[in-house]
Amino acid sequence: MFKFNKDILTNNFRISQLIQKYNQREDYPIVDNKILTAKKAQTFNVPIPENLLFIETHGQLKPKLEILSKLDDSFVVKPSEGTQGGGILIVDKVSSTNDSDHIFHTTRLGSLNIYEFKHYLSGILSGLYSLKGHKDFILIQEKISNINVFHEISPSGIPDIRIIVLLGFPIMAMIRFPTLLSGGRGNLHLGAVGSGIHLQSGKIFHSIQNNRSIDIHPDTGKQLLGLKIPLWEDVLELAARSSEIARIGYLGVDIVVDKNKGALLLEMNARPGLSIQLANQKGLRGAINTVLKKAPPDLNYKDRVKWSLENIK
Amino acid sequence: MNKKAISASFVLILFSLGILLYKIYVLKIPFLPYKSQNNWRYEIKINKNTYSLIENQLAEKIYLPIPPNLENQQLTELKIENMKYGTISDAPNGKLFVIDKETLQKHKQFKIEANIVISNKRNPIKKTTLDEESRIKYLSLSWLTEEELNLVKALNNSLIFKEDSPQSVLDKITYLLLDEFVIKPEITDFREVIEMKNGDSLSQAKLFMALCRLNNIPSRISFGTSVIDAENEKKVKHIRLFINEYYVDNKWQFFHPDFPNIGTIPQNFLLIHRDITPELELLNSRDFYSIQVKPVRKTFFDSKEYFENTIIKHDNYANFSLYRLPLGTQSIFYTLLLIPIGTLILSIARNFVGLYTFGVFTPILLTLFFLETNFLTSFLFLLSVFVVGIIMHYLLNKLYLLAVPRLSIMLTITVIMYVGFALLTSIDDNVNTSSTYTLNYFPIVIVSVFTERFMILLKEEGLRNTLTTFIGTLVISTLCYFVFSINILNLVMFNNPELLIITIALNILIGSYTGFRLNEFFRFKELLKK
Ligand SMILES: Nc1ncnc2c1ncn2[C@@H]1O[C@H](COP(=O)(O)OP(=O)(O)O)[C@@H](O)[C@H]1O
Ligand SMILES: [Mg+2]
Repeated sequence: MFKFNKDILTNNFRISQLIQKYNQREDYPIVDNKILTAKKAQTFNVPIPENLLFIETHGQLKPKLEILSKLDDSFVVKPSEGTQGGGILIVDKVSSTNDSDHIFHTTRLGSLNIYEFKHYLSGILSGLYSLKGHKDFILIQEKISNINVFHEISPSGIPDIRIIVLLGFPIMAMIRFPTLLSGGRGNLHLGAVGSGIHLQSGKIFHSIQNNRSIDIHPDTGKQLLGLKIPLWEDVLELAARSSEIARIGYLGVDIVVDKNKGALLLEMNARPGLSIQLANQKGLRGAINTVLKKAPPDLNYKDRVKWSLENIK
Repeated sequence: MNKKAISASFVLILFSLGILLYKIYVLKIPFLPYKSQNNWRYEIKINKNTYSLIENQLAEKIYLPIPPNLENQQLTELKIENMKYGTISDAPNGKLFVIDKETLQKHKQFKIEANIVISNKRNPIKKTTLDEESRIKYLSLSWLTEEELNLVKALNNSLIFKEDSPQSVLDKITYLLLDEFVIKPEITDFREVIEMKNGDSLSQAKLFMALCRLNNIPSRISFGTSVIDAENEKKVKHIRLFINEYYVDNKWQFFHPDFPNIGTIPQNFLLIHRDITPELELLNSRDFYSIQVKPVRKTFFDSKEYFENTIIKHDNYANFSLYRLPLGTQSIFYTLLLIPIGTLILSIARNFVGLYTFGVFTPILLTLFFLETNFLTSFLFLLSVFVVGIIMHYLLNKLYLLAVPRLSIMLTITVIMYVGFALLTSIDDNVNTSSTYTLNYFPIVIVSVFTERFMILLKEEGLRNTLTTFIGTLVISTLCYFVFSINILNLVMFNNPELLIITIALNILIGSYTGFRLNEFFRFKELLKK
């Protein structure tokens, strides 16, 4: 039994041998705080979903709400330091009533009038969803339009692709499909589907939900096994590039594919979980050792992807 | 595991064992100090139903004895309830708290509480002198009626011959009581006692005393209680005893049929008062007085004496010894030195088992809380704080409050609950007499830290994670509580603090372990099967 174990990345190893050695504490805010990530990403020319505005204080609420209520498109409200989808609110449409009042239409909370909506925003600013419970900022982001393939599979939400990048080299990937059970969120422990992606081909080769193997999406019955991720090359290269914006050697990169804009960096994680190993039915240690022992330094992101595809099997 | 860590911990372990061995074999300081003392809490009070005795049944003065300081017993603390309503008489044979009959009837609560350290060493009895006045007093037979005196004389004549030496006189009296006297608590009439050689413990002692005095051996009766030294046990049997003392060879020696060690100070014995005069005979009555003796600290040794006898000989070492500290500080370090062991347990639980806790030190603080108060009640208290915290969490969520006021509310509720608990747990103590009740800040500080941690986690990670973390916290703090309660461990660490270095070494090893945690075996079960 012990032989098989050696390939699994354990929490103890992750903390002492990866996070402590390769992740710079000072750069954590860049990945933990979505506004900082966005700002940094722009200077590095890394494509991200367009941010419409930031709200940083309660005082800004009123003027910024006015701008928001005039928006035509749907948009997404996010706490800057939220995790696991906490506090994220998708506003599909803003309509105005006869007495020039505004109604914000959401799926999760139904229709909110301007006071209810303002109250929701001020909750975020007070740190209701923040990692540390202190004051937080709000990010208003364009809504990603799901590509058709994915929409057919999981209409309940946008799937995101998680790629583990070690020292700039992508080493393992999975895609997380929201389900009804997970409430449209992409968290495996809430019941989302996690599918391991074959690095070289970009095809799904194994899927799990709640730690059990499945072949089809439970909500729609669509086949997952063998599905090829669109724009796979772009996704890998984006992951490799994203890792340059912070000195986080062991990094989880979350990427979404937009119908019009292609692969976009959604967020990053400095303490990526171990569950990707379950979706892939494979341990990470092999790939980690390969990179740590053999990876050549000073490659650009394209060459790093190429190297990974050749060396990590 | 990396080599650097292994060698570092190896060096540390060797270093600490080196000190230990040097201490044991070169300085000849034992691994564990001998234990010689026990700390007891003595309590005597006048029973409630006494007050209902009709007036003329009460004596004019009522006495509550305060145990004297003797070679092997030391009074360390004394508390007298309603002290201003009585007087303390400082008799050479032990202090007495004296209350008038009328005062007793007005101020019904009188109680003496004392902390006493009883040493269990077999101290040889020291020589004392007996002045003429005392000699006459301890030979007096005036407390006997004429009839009783004649009966005792007759008994004495059948037993003792003129040519007997004092020692053989004593032997004969001793054997008479050991062999023939039968304890029958219902018999108290002294005439009957002498004739039948039956009677209660007090009568037995009186018979011994009468026979001694008749043969010109000064003698008296002392009152005390036997404390059966039951380590760690909260319940300790205590029996009221009237014990004889006789003055031979310039020494006051003890005799009691139940104590085999004739000629030495009885073991596990608390002497409450010497020389029971007729007015003190009421102590015999369980209806009148209730006496309680409880162990305070489980094992305790005379650390001052240990320091002076064993450690101070080694100048250089003595400078580092914890025994140099004042006694109060020492007792704090008994617990403090165990904290590294607690954190070691925590490291193991986190990195080998995968147990999560509220913060790293909260479980240890909770352990201290358990130790400081009573385990069961504080455990229940924590549980209720937890449940109330969860309810408050959902209620407060509806109000969208900012973080700090939110926590303040919860802490206020915790304080209120603490008040409730304090009231609830002291319900059988008599409230209006609780001038002695001392409340500590320490527990509430700990519970507040706990509450803050857990409310934050509840907000950040939700109920499920908080619940598992709470269970983890309880498991660790309970485990640590039981480990901390191991007396011998207390002593080992206090006596050999260099062992702390070993815990550092072990932590280095644990910290460089990169393998599986127990919970990961379950998490990756599927993968492992492949
Ligand atoms: N701009 C967006 N448009 C549509 N859905 C989004 C958008 N941003 C996030 N989401 C959905 O919300 C989920 C969580 O978003 P993410 O930015 O990863 O926040 P978190 O840190 O809380 O996980 C994503 O997996 C996606 O399903
Ligand atoms: Mg996410």
